[in-house]
Amino acid sequence: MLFNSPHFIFLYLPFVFITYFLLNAWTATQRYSKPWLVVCSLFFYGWWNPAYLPLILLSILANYIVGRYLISHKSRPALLAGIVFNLGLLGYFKYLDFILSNVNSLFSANLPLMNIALPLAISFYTFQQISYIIDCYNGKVKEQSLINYSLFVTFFPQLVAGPIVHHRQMMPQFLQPAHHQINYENISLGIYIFSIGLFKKVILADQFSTTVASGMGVLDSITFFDAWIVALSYTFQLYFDFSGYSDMAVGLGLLFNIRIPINFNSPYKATNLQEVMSRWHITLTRFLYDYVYIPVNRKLSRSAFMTKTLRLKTEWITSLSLVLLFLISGIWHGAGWNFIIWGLLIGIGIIVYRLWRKTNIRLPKAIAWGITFAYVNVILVFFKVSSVNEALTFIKAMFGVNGAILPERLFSFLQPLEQLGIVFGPSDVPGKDKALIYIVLGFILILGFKNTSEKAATFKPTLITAIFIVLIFLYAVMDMNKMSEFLYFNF
Amino acid sequence: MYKKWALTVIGAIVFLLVCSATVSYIVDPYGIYPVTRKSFNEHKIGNRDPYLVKTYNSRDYQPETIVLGTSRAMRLDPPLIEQITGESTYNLGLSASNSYIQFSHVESLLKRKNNLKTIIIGLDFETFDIEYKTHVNFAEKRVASPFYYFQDIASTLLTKKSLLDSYYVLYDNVKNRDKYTKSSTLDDGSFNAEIKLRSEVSVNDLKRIAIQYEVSLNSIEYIKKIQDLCNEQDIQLYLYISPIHAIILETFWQMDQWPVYEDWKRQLVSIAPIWDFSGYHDISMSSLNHDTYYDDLSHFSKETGNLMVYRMLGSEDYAPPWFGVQITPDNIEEHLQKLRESRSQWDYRDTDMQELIQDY
Repeated sequence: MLFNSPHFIFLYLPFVFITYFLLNAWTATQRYSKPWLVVCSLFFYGWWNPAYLPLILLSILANYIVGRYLISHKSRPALLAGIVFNLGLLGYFKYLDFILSNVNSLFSANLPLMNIALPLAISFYTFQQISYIIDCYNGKVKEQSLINYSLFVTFFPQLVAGPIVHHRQMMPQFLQPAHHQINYENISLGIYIFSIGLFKKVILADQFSTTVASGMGVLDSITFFDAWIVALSYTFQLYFDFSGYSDMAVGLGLLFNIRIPINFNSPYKATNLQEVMSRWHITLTRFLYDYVYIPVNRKLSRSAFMTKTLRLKTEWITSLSLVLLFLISGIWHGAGWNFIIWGLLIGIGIIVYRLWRKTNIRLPKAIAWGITFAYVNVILVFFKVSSVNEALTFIKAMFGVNGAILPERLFSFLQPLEQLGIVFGPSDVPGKDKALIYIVLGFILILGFKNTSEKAATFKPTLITAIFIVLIFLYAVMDMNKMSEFLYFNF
Repeated sequence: MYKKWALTVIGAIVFLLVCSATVSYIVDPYGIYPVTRKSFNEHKIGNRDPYLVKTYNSRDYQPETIVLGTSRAMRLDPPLIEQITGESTYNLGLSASNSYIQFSHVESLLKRKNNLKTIIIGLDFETFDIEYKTHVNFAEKRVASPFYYFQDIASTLLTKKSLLDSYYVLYDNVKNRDKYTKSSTLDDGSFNAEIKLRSEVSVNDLKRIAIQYEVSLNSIEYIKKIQDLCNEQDIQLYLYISPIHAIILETFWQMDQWPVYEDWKRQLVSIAPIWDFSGYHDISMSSLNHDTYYDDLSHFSKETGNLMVYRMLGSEDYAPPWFGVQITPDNIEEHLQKLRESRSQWDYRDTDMQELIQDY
């Protein structure tokens, strides 16, 4: 079920919400309300394809048992078995065909591909549970009931596409008695944040998606201006789509008095790549930082690379760990070379930035922002286009290799540009005027306004905010005749 | 304070949505809610999704005869069928529909209260290709749903589009105009012959037709399932192959697809007798520049549809004797042989192509 669907907004959400608090009012112990939320969350998950339900149930049960065992026995083999189980599931469903096709290419083999459908949210719930069992092993987790654990994994606002929540953030909230009662402050804030997220997704992201779809249809022949319009549209689409989804998740959590961590903090305002990544998909980066970067960094510092014969500077170890972090981030996003390249380009970009920082040369803020944003646009091509060759063709077009076409009506104003080889005529990407208006709007929104979490921090229940929310909610909800999935449902 | 804010916002949203839904329900721009169908809002919005409208209208009308098939089948005229058979008729032809969609509708109609006695299905070779996709507007849940599908309720009552379309319907009906309400589909589901869709034919059109076909066994199986349902429920089933223009037949020849086309007919005939209106004859080889027999390259006209109805339903005096042959496993090979031979007539009719396509 999609957050941006009438089924969810008009049927599922009111029914689940009202019943949850009725059950809470009925018994103070949450004896029925928590199982109710778990069942409803599983229903929400199974709405796409009930065939995936056994897999998530198996994953929950297996991790719960392993976690319980690790709490009482600090067993390294049990931890490894748990991690192998989780990565095995993820590897089988997400990466097996990618591995097989590469083996086929490398060794001219003919291994049949499995054509396995990717179960929804498997990347998200796998990572959440790996962190849980690691923390069980490290003695950071107290005994939990199966219902609490199941709710931590399946809680519907964050189940399908994050934010990736940590048990330390979520589980204590499920236990607090104050969270079992209706809290109008949280409900107000929840409605406020959800409405902004819905607007971002339905009105902004889906509009950008039409330009992106047109551009993807003419990848081979796209020219300079069109390529940039498509690239910028995708950059904005991805942000408004995923941050819109994350806003909706945070807002929905608040309706149930659960605070879900924010996932975005104006990444496109950043003036260097490291800052972009610390503001983008924050919960994934934090997970990888805690469970990949720090252990790898520690390992490298203490072992092989610090022997007398091969002593690496701390800076190089950090760089290596960073590249590894973003390489894994790329692999997490999808089974394809394009994602691997995307991850590497982020890692390399951050290392270049760190080297540049050492020179103590300060660029003007606008130039630093421009370089960063342009780089983000270029590397996102690999995020969007699965074929590496096609992605390179597109990037070449962004650098003007395929020439440039401007609309004929601009000929009288820009005729001198013809000397530079710019052609005036029709191009393959329709609706560019509208796309340009939306791109300008996108820039104004991301650079000129506070982000959702900043707005939420200063939220006041005034008449103005009420009118604002009623208007944007209605505008978005009455535009939902064309439902579209969220981009991060594919990961 | 927060309580007041939250309740005000929720109350305002619910109130405004209810107002919007009430307007859209009463005006009913798509003609799917039966409250005020023939009054101030008689003429519905012209540009409406036939997959949505026809699903609900076919249930509502409870016809005794339905016509299924693609937009070509929409040229079969329900009043003429009613005149010949005495059975109320609805044309459930849907643009670019395949046999799966047709089966879903038959299955759905038979599961609910119905008066069905006769089903007429137009068979189009292109829709049996293995690569042919089910139309994006087809919603399995809508057809299977015993009531209104919730997504349809939301999209027809709770959207800006439905509100705007309600305004357009009121505007046209009050002003007695058809600016927004002129539709290519009549209330009986058939094609509105007053709409002229004729467009220039180009070599590119022919290139689109000229593909390598492979008949999907699933598509054939759905026809078999329809026949099984008809047998179980004692419903008369008429299957026919459309009289596509000889120019299209010729692309099959030129692309070496004729054997596939013949095999498709053989497979269909193994299920039930088929009326075959295709072939090289005076109708299929008529000039597209005269709109008697064809609306455009892809669609025969309602006049041609009438001749087909006369032929299939027993008023044979009104149809030329060479138009339409009922093929069975016994006569299929002889029939196919005749069609192959009849192609020789095409040579001197080839001028049709030159007349249509300058760069031919």
